Amino acid sequence: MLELKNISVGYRGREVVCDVSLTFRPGEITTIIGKNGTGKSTLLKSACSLLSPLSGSVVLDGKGQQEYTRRQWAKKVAFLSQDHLDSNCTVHSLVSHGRYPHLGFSKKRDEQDHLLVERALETMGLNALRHKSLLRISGGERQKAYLAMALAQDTPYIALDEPATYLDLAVQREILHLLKTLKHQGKCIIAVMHDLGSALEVSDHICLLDGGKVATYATPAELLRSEAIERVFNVECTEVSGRRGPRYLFS
Amino acid sequence: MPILQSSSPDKKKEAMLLGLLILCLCSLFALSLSIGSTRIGLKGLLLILQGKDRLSAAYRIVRHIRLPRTLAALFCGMALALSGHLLQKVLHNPLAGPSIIGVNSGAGLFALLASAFFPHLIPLGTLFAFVGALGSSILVYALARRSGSTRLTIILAGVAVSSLLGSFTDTLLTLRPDTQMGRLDFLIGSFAHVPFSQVSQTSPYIIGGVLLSFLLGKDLNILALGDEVALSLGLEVGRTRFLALMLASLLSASVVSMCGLIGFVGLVVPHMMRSLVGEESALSLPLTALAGAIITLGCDLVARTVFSPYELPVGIVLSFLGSPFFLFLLFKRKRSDCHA
Repeated sequence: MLELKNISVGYRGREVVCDVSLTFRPGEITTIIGKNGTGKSTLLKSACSLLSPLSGSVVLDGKGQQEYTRRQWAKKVAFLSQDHLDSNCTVHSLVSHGRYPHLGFSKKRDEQDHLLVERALETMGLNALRHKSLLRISGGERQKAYLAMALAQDTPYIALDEPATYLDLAVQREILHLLKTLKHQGKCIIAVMHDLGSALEVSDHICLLDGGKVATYATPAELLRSEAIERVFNVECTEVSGRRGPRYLFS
Repeated sequence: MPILQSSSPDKKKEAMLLGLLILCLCSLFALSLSIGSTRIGLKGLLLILQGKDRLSAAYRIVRHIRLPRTLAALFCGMALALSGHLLQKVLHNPLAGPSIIGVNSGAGLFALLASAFFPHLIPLGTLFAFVGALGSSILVYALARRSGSTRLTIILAGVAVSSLLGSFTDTLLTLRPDTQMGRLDFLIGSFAHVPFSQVSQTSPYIIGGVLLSFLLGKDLNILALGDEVALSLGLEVGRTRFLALMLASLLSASVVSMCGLIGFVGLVVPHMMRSLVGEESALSLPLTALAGAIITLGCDLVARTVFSPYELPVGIVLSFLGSPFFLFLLFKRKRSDCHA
């Protein structure tokens, strides 16, 4: 269980997220939604201990964040960043880096490491691209490669910062499907999402941020009923029935 | 075993390259000892290196002139190439290098200050240079970070700090022309007058720095992915970056205190190796060190022989070859940025 207790986060003293308490449980997908600039990514990063909160605490499996070393933390929590440096390494070596927190002093990879890397490449369908440089593949493929790296990290908690934004529909669906599979494996998934439809479709809980505060924390059904989306985004939400359950239109 | 099979051609290529470079370095080493106004054959050279034939003039030439010079060139090449490699990785910037971002000029200024005001501390010159190098690299990094750390700002900050420190150095050389290091060799860089004692004093720092940076190799590959990704993979980003800056400073400071301000090896060699073996080869650091040694030794040989009996300071030869390469890099980068 990953708990945020009354955390406030900010840059250079300016608070972006104030006094947020949230709990993320194994086997659930929690998405964070909200308008641009409301501190979604900031909140996610502090949950992953990439940013330290100005006040409040982050507790992972009963132990405070300070009690973990970086490496111990990275064995439990993987983070898919939104922006990457344009590194010139191959897809295979990028995914192998996912094993970094598990390596010993000699940094040698054992059979288990190789197996997990192979499985991650397989899952993301990257086998054919394994020797390609990251600079020579498309944006969608690159995103999949970084996602594969997070999978190879083999952590019970996976945080994703806008995993499907800017990707074509096919890749988007693929990633959403993957999130559900991971959830069924018992992993705790935390994602920042822009696409409300996707968020409503896959999430167990949705946290709607507004002005750095939690406006609503609820299941998708409750959220729709509360009309908080309409209020915050200033849109109208219509439910339509799709072939695999309800889908939502915003206008 | 699909993994081993698929990566083995690369490994083989790298191992071959390593062998080739070692062979190349050995032959240059021998050449550098044998060529000069007195030519010494291979046979004679072997005798001398074994410590026999101590009374001949050839022995004295090799022992006191050519060997220190050759070793100095070898160590400096290694140190500068690795220093450049570390800086480029740590600062996420392919245009970084000890002479471009102010590390060398910091080391130079402090080495000069030491020899001007504390001449009795000359044996500690490397330490002074180290303080200067570390100080200026941290200054440049902090400046660039404050103003939003784009790739361009760090180079601009480096150039600015470099020229500021350079002006102090020039002032000092003007006011105190009689300092021990106040000679042309220092500003351009040369291996011609490096005594054996200096080589044996400085080489432990270089060897230590080289070995330690080999240990950092894997961490640097993680750091190259960007701070956020590296942190999420469990790397202590701040500590690793500081360690790497410190090693880079130690390496280039050792070079500066031994043979002055030598430019461009640190910029050019890491690039050559990257284009040969890629960004993340397990052997990239040893290969870079070897290539640095080869190029410096080769340039020194050229510097000694083209206008013989006159000789050029090796820094001139290196800049002559390095500056066009730097320009080439700039233009190539610009083009690929436009495409991106």
